[in-house]
Amino acid sequence: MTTQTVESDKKEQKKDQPHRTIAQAGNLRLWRDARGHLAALDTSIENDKPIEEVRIARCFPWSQRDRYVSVRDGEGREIILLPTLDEVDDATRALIEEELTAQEFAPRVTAILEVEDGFDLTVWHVNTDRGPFEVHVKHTEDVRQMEDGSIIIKDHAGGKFAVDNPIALDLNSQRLIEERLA
Amino acid sequence: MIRMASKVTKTKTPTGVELPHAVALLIGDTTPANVAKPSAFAMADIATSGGFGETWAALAGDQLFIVDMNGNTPELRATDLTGERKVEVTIIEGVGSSRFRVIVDGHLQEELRFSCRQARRFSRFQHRVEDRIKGRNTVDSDGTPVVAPDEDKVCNTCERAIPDWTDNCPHCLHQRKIIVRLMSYVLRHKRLFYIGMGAAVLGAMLMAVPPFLTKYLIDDVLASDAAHTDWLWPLIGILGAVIAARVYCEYLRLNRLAMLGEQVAHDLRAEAFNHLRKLSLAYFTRKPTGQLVNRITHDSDRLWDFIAFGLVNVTISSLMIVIIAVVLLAHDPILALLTFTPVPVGIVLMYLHTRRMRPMLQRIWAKWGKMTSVLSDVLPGMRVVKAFTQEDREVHRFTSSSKAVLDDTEDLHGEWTRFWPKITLLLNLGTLIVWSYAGPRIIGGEFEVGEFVMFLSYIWMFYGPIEELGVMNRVFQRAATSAQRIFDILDTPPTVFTKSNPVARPSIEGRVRFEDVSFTYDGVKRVLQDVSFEVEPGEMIGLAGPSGGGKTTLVNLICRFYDPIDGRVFIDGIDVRDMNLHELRSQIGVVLQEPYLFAGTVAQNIAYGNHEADMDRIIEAARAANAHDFIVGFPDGYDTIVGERGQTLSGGERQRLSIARAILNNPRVLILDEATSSVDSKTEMKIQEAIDRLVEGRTTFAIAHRLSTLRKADRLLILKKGKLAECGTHEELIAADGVYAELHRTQAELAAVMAV
Ligand SMILES: Nc1ncnc2c1ncn2[C@@H]1O[C@H](COP(=O)(O)OP(=O)(O)OP(=O)(O)O)[C@@H](O)[C@H]1O
Ligand SMILES: [Mg+2]
Repeated sequence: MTTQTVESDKKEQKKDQPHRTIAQAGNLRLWRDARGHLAALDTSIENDKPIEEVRIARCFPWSQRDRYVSVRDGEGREIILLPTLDEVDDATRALIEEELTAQEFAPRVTAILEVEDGFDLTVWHVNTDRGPFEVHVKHTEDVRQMEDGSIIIKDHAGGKFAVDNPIALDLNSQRLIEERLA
Repeated sequence: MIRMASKVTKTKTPTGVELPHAVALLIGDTTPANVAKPSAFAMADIATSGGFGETWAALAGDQLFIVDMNGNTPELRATDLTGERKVEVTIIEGVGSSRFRVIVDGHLQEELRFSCRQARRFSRFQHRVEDRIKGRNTVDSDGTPVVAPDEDKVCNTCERAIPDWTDNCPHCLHQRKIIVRLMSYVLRHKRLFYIGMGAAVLGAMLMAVPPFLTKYLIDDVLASDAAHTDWLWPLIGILGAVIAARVYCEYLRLNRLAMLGEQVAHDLRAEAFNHLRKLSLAYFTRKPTGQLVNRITHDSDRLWDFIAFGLVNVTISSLMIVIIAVVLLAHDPILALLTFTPVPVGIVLMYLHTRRMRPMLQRIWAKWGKMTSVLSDVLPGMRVVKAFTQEDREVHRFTSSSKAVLDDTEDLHGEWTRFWPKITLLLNLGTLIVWSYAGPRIIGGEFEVGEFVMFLSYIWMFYGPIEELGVMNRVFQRAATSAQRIFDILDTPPTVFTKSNPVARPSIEGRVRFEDVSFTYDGVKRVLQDVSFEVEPGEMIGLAGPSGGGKTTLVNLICRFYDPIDGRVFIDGIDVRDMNLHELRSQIGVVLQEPYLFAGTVAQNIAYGNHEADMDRIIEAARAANAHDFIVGFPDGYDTIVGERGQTLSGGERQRLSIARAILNNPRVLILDEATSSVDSKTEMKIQEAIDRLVEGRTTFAIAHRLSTLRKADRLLILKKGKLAECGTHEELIAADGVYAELHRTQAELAAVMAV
């Protein structure tokens, strides 16, 4: 019988930090360390030991984009939940916003140029606010209308392309999308 | 895979599949000739600005190159991987955008952003780079492709390789128009089709006879100066015979074509279900059940309508229009042309109508699907609905989804009901024109009355089919949408299937090996990451770790419910992808986390994987699962009906039945996912006994949160956040003082507290 405690994880265990929380949004300070990761400090504690590899996540990425931002440690445990970003200091807020922009990519579709049906794959040639793109849709139900009227076109690789207000699109785009809505 | 690649290259934006020549040249300029060719590469498709971009990362020799193509001139940067300085490469996963980082001596050197589309390639690339950093040389970089092109099966028409999961070339099938495709199903029942169609054509031809006879009756028999009064009775006789023949033809047509419609609907239903069976689990987690049910039942029924009535009506009507047009032209060209005047306008109207109808039908179908999904979502969850007293909310949810259908049908019915009178009006205008032309001429004696009456009947025979085509247009549109929905199922390729020439393994030993296996359900979040281990035949493995760690996912890969996105799973040293799926699964027994029973008797459920099993073996299996006693306690014993999803049984009873099911299957590899999660401790002991009996001599993977149930395990694998955190015996892991020891301590403390 072999025993192998996987090597890299042994390392990880050593630096395993205990779970800590920060009570006040005003006491949270973030900065970026040399490796590019975020780190956090509780300013209410003197000489606080920093929490490393901090991650930021939105609680409602689609329905409540700007509220409820969770600051988490490397283990995925919450350090603090920020209902709004109003109470954190400016530098920290800028970092949170920078980090969120860097980890998110949800282009908004501004026009649908052409839809090519093929076996196995439907290619949507679209213009987005980030530039033109070909969305590869694999299943009919990947083009979907949400409760609020917006439409989400899902790429087979997992990317989501949103049409916030379908009625505002040009008529040709509207016709193309309407014909394929599932 | 292969087809996708060809599709991808057709598009304009860079796809990351092929390294552009320019990039390769740039790299080639700076590297010695012997390593000039990059051995691995990936493309970051998001620029620092946040828009789509193109930055390449390539590994050539010991150098990691970054080529930034976003500016006016490409920019090249290189990092030496095996030099003095310590290089790390990591991927930070995000929501739709991940980052590839190169860290040199603890300092961030490069950061590339890429979308989900490139995630897999980057993950591979990271591995290659890490291998190189560690000094490993990997030649076989990609492993075997998932879909190997099949050399013997090539489509005769388009010469593409036909994938293994189907007999027909999906590409050609897709190219064929829906109607042609539907006709191929109709023609499978040639007898019904020909008799029905024959009767229809004959009936249509017979219909042209009576007006002709009437003309003779009026002009030659009944008229005051008639020459052939003695023809009266024979003519009436012929008329009678023609009518009788027509009625019989009508009967034959309706009967045969109605049956034909049912046959085709049945064929499609059966074929669709048979195809669903082949589709991978992922398909079913994604598709709302209601929609699938809808496609198989509702849509196939709509096709019946079309085949029974639509098909023949369209054919006959078109035929009639041509025949009558010829007859009219032969009798009086001027009158005939006047009769035709409304036709072009009608055609234009019909075309516009069709264009408006199609999206409406699509939309209604979607809403209809949503409505059925509400039903199939709520009905099985009635207990929860009642417990939370959410009846009103669910009623509202259903009513509003039904109302959504209603609202859309209003548009639809508005459309065709408006279209319809327009056609009638148009055709009546046609008759008015004919009357105004012919009336004066009859009065003037240029025209005989009988002749004109005949003409009038023919005109209606001409307009009738045109109206009919209008109606059929609607039926046809509906049928086409429905057929499309069914073909959509048939055209979905399964992602997991037996390849041709599988390695035959009728009896496996049960040696299981994972080699750098990674897996994701949604293409974004890695649920398993580089998991490697090997299990000897007959060994019992306990799988533990925090909830959501990937335990169920891991066993899903052993059963090949899904295929890993990276790495390989071997059983007896054979890649599971090379094995026959049926053979593989029939030798793996699973007791699932949520045991699922089917509507039927207890005995049928136990024998689910093994229908030929006789009563003795069923009872034996139930005994071994400690289920026999409670089953016999039921008034109906083994004949007790368990209801849909086994609702009439308690949780523990369901679990024991599913254990019995696994025992009866006599599998070589046994998978127990939380098999004792929902029972009291006494029952747990009984189930544990049953399990102990069951695992003997089989490779077993037992998942449990209560670690005490894993005490018999030879080895424990601890999965945490998709990674294999620890692996070893109980004692070794306690000594290592890691995740397992932690879990063990908490549970021991908890037990102590409970005991007080
Ligand atoms: N069909 C699915 N689609 C998408 N994500 C899934 C699917 N099934 C599971 N997951 C996700 O995969 C991760 C691992 O799930 P898995 O079921 O393997 O966990 P587990 O270790 O069995 O947990 P538990 O002990 O609670 O049963 C979870 O984060 C879960 O959210
Ligand atoms: Mg599980």
